[in-house]
Amino acid sequence: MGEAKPDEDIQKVKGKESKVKSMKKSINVCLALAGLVLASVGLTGQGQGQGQAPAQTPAAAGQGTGRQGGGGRGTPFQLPVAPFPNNMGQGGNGAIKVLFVSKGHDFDRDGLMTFFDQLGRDITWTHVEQPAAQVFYDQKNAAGFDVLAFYDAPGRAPRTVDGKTVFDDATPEAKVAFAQMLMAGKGLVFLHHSIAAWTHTWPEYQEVVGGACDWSNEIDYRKQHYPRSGAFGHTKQHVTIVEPASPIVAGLGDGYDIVDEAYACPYADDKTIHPLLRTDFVPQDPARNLGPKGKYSNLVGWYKSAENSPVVWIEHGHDTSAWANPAFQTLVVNSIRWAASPDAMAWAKKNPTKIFKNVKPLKPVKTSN
Amino acid sequence: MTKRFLAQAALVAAAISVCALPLVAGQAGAPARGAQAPAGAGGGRGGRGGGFGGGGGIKVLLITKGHPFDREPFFLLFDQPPVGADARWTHVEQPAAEAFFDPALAKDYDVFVFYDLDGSQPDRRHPAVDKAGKPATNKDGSPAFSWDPPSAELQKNMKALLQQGKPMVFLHHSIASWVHSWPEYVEVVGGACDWGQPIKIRGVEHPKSGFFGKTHQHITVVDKTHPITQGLGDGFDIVDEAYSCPMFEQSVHPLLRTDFVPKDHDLNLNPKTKFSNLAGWVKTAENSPVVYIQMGHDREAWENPSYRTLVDNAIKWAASPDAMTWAKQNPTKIFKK
Repeated sequence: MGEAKPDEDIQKVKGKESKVKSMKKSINVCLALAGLVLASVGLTGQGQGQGQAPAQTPAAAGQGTGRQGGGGRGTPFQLPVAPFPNNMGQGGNGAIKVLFVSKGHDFDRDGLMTFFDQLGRDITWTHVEQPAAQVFYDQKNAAGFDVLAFYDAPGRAPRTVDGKTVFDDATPEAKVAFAQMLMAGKGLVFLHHSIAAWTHTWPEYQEVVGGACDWSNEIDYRKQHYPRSGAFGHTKQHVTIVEPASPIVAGLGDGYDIVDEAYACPYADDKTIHPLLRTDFVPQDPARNLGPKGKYSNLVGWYKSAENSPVVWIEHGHDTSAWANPAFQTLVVNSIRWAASPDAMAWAKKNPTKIFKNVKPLKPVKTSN
Repeated sequence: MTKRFLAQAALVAAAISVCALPLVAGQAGAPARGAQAPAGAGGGRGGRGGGFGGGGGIKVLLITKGHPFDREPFFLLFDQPPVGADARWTHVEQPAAEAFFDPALAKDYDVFVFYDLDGSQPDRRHPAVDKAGKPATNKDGSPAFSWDPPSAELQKNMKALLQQGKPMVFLHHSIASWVHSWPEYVEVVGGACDWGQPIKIRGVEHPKSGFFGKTHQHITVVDKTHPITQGLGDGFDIVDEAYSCPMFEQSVHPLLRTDFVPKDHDLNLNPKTKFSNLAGWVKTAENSPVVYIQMGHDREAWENPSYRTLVDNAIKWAASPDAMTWAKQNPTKIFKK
């Protein structure tokens, strides 16, 4: 019943050496983290008032010096990598308002949340889990957010109803609202396993993201049936930039190395997407995950439009090994900045992708003045 | 000095444990997340408990943001038994959580559990100015602020939700939400704190509230018959942050009292008022059953078995037909019109 990824364990084809190397690297990172934490606590632990115990003034987030909120207590995990400052408060206080959506696939919660904290000069992020997140498929409720960043994977737990296997679906109202929000234009950034969201019940959602994965169940994608997708943990990869002019890859040069989970899933490797990144990882047996007719795609990042909305998908992002990689940090912050930008919105409106055939757009809300 | 050293040690330990997670999993030859079964969109598959998001039958909307906290061990409190065996929770941060006060959206959840500090966001707080247009100061000389009131829609929704009888459990610093700009909200909770600014509560001015970290306390159960205190015997010991804030002794039904007493009453409370050693209560707000538990600053509380029992009992009681019947029979009028 659980959604373990059987393929992932079986298909650990890479040698143990790279794993050991990555573990050593992790240990070094951790030691650096511990050091940084000690140093930062030393700095922030000053100035207790009233002879009281050294708890931090509550409500620090947003008070006082502003940028320094949160700091000394709460999450100790700090990314030691420039250009992200180490002393960021929880939730950030940057200008771009991001709704961060998760649930449906486990992850190191504090690790990823701390990663988003480190983007706090650019973004202010608010966490919402599925199924509650569907409330923000409605543009009225999402109005306070510039970008929706997805790390969720709902709808993958099979249930048996009357002898048939069924998967949870988004509510009909949420699906219509989502289509209308995309028609109005909303920046969407999909990370890693969010490409598996609603994959069994909502083909249009696959088209929004640009592909489909499920590592536990067979999938249908673009009227073709596929075996369970492949997930290859802690894979050392070199990633090549294929559209260097895009603002999403600015600062990454020709490419970068990353140790992260790689996928073998069917993607829309066609004109509906604009390739940004390709990995040198190749699965040993592509047919195992893509079937005899399927072709393996080495895409690990693209941008596209969905209706009138700019969309980015980045394949990376399984755990700390990716989150602490400066290239990943750059990619995510660039993606969010781009998806929130007037340029991206204008580009998507000029190059829309029609997806939802049976939904009519809402009339634009008239604003006074 | 010792206390600060301990705090540093705890943070370093936490940093190492965060790092250790993928390492340990890596050694086991499994992916980092392997230890727990993914919960799927809705989580719960009856009775298992302990998974990511809990596996129980009570649907909890878990509301945070506004006050930093150590996220992973806090979430584990709700993942693991007993809470995770009884509840299935969905995390929503402020200000997004405000959308769920709409009764149409709140209906998907049995209980709201608050660990937030809403209403004090940077864009809702403004430096106050005096009549001459100069920056105003508090009596203690610190800069004064003014706070935006809640939106008309939020006020309308909160009123409707409470009149419907939505159960609410407030933990620890959630007693500080909206204390400057929404008096009805303060009446819902049954007390008010702000550790950074003076407050005016029920017409009485108080200095900024007191918070006393890592305080060894003995908590006495003062209503042993209440479902929320079952399993706690006469009381329990806990090391946690204690508060000195105005609490409404006359408007709540006491469950728990601490033996902690602040050394300097007047530092945090109006000299004409009395320190309340309440550490937990139930009350009603319109037709809703409401619980407040003062404890819950960090993992030292969250991992205390008595605290876990308390939070679990509070959620179970709030969601029970008994609590809802009790609240309907003993409503507290809060919204005047």
